[in-house]
Amino acid sequence: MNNSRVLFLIAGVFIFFLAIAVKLFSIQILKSEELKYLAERQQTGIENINAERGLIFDRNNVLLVYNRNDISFYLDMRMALSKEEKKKIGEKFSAVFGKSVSYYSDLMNVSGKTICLEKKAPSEKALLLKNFKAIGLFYKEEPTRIYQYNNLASHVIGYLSNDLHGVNGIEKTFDNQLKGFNGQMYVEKNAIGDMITVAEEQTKAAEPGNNIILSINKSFQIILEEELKKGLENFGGTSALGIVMDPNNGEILAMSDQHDFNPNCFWEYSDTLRRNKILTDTYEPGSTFKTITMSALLDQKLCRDDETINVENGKYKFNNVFINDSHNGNSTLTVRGVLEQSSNVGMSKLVQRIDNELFYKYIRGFGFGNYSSIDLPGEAEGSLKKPTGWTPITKAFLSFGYELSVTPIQLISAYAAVINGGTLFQPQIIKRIMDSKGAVLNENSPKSIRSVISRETSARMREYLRGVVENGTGKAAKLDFISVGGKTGTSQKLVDGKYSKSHYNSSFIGFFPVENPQILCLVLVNSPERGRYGGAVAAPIFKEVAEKIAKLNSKLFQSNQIIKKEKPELKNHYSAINSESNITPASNNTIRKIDNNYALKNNLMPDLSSYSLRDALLCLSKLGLKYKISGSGIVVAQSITPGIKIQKGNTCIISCQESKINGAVIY
Amino acid sequence: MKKLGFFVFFVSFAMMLLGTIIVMSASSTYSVFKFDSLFHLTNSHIVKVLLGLIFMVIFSAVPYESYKKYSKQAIIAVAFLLVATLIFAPSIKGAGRWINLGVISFQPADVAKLLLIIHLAVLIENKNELITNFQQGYLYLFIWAVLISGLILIQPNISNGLLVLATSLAILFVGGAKLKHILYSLLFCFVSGGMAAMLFSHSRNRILTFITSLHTGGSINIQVKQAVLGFGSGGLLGVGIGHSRQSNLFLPEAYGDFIFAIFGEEMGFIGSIALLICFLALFTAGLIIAKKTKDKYGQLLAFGIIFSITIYAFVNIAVSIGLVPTTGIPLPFISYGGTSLIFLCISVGILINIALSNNAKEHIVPDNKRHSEVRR
Repeated sequence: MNNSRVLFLIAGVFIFFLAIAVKLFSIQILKSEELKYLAERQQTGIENINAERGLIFDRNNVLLVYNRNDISFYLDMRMALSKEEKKKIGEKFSAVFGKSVSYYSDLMNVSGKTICLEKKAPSEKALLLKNFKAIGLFYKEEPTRIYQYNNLASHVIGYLSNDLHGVNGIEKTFDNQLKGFNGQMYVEKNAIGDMITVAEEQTKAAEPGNNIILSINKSFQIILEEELKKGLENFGGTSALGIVMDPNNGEILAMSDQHDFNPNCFWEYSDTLRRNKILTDTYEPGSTFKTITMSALLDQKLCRDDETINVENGKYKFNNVFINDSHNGNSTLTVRGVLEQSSNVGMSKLVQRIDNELFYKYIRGFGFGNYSSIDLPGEAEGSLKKPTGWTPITKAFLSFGYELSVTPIQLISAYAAVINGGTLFQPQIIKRIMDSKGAVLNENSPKSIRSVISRETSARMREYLRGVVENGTGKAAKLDFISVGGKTGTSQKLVDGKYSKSHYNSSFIGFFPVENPQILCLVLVNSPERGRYGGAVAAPIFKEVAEKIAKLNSKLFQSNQIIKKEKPELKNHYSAINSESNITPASNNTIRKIDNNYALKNNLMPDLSSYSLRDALLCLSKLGLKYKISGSGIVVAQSITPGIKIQKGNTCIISCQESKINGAVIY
Repeated sequence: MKKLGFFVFFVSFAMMLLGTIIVMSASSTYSVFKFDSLFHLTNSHIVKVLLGLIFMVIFSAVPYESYKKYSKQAIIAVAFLLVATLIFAPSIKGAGRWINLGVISFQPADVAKLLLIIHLAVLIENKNELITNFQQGYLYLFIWAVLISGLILIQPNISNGLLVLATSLAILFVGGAKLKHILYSLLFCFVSGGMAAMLFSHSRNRILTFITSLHTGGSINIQVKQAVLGFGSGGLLGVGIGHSRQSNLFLPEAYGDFIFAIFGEEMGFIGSIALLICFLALFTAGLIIAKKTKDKYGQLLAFGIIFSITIYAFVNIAVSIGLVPTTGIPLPFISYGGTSLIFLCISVGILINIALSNNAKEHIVPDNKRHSEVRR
């Protein structure tokens, strides 16, 4: 061996060593921070934790809308699956979901992208696939909004778009309240994006959305919807709208637009069907507006009850325009009679007694030409001309409900003011907002806008309206056991700029009991095919609704009437509300959360009774149990006895019942 | 000498132990991803390490002189094996390097490398003075070196071929060949080798990307880029054994040729330098063994083995930090080993045997006599 040559090579190796050491120093010491940053950027990521959307209840805490975590299965076709693997996956999925094997093999007949094998599978079925593994197969939890009663109150509640934003109704107006705040977690990922570990200390938990308690009463809503549907069958027509309101505070107890839609599969319905026509569509109210005119006249003391008016046998030329009565045959009518028989001629004569500006002020005062400001999206304001723009005949036509357009919600709010003592309330759809733990965040109190007419006028109007039902056009709305007041309305629809002879809006607005109105209800049928007058089409529907509501709550009405009589009249509505809201804390307690930690830790079946449905479902899915639900509301029974050792994958049937505020089961 | 033999054994053993731990850390994510088992690759590696250790012990007991007799037949056989590989071997990533014997598949290049070192050492001892003669001495040696490395080269396994050639030339250089001959043949190799490299698409691309990166100053390729990110996040002290994040599939095949990046990430700058010093220590020990060995054949064999190990280690490391173009050679002792780990252990075993067999004779042979022998 040649020593000098060996030394030469040693020197070479040593230089190589030095070069490596210098380069390592530059990378690992000098550029370390920069490279560390770049590395962390690809190694870690922020994952969203979806916040659970708030629940929606009716006024009696009946759960209407909740969430379910469905599971979607995806297959990454980039993993180049073999034929056998595809076959295995196809057969397994076919066995679980009951679709044909060829359906899945067709799906898998692509390459280079990720496909969705099964979208939003319910967790019961997804659990069957829990131990099934295949290359490229992965699943994701996807929250699904469940509208427990399908079509019920669909226009009030609205629905969620696929990207989980509220599109209509409460879901839209209160999107910010309901959606909560998404959490974040910092995760270490691998190059494919799979999560490896979660940095617990840097994780921000999701805050669930707030729960909303509607002013809607589910049973009233069911009654209203059923009767409107029946009405549509009986009379035909393009749509039937209905609102039930508490006239003393503006709370909406039921609101329906038939035909309705199912928010669970909203995409199957047209835009027109999903629109809440109660708010978005305006119409000329026709005779129902005479009540407003009459209230203004009485409030200004411009006519007496017994005064007689010549109604010209129902045909009267006024400024070269003929005004006709539909129910003709009378030559003279009393002022009451004008309203009872709904005489256009009589109304247009009477209205001449009031000054234009003053009449306009009353109409505005009742809220027409202005948004009602209900907490629902898409409201129209209707149209009302200013007196400066009026023609000589405008006032006459206004008096019986033409030359202005209103929404049903405006009209029912105005009626509430007419009968409740003269106070216009903002219509309300929300009773309270609670956070996910049950603390009340916002308790809605009645929002009085202004006093429009005096209490005396209001009392007289109630009597007048009772007369309409007892003696006049609204006889079809009469009930034997409770006094009813109301007003019919039939207005010709404008079709292509002309008043149509075949298309009518038939409406009826009524209330009961007359002495102390508790329920105010509007029914409007669009273009009925059989019958046209409000008294013949809408009034019978109203009667059915009113009768069922009254019977359902006969006790409630009596007790309320007693309360009302005891209190000074002025504070009527407020005291009623206050006494109700005092009960609220108790209602929160009925949906209490029992600490079942011990049972959970020891893998024992917890006692779910008096859990809310959501808590019960959460608890069951945490335990890995499948579940079936019967009913809704609060858990009253469970098929697995509390304290028994849990076997994952078993099915627990839970039955729920809805409870009333004070804890008594009323349904 | 006995001490040196044990030193070589323990350093190799320690490095293989360290390698096993790093392989475990670097391969686990990939194993789960690919084989659904955390230790799939680690287990296979441990088997090879154990086999390697057994072979190391066996070969350290076989007298190294016994290879002399059959070195020619062996090298001819391996040349045929390489030709067979060229014709029959299935192609992996555009290169057919493996031969499958049913139970075990191995790269004939690994065998060829060791046999070439042995044969060159044998030839140099036989030729003795003739080595300075181009036609009668140098050419024989050079033909064997070029034949074997050329066959490896055109598999194509450019990096391995070049390193085998470099090792051979180093043996010739140390063995006393004329510098003029070596330089001329080196020039010849560069011209023909360069042409060959441009002939094969996968080596051409690698060289071209390296050249491009020199112009742009950018990253060389995804593997090196990810490797450098690993070194960088290691910093001075490293993230700790088992805490590598780059092994989460960011660095492709992190347990193989780029394992030093994971090592650098987990052990930091200090660890990386320590490992380099381990290789230097092994190199020094090997050189001392060579120096103290009595016969020329033993000297050159020991030198060839230790030079080959060191040059493979340093080139692998230089690749992973982007100092030289990306090549496909493993880091000795550390990388997830196929059969190359076993052949590495065999060569270390031979080195230990050289150290042990020259132990007794050390004091008998006078120093100056050996010197004159070489000089003559």
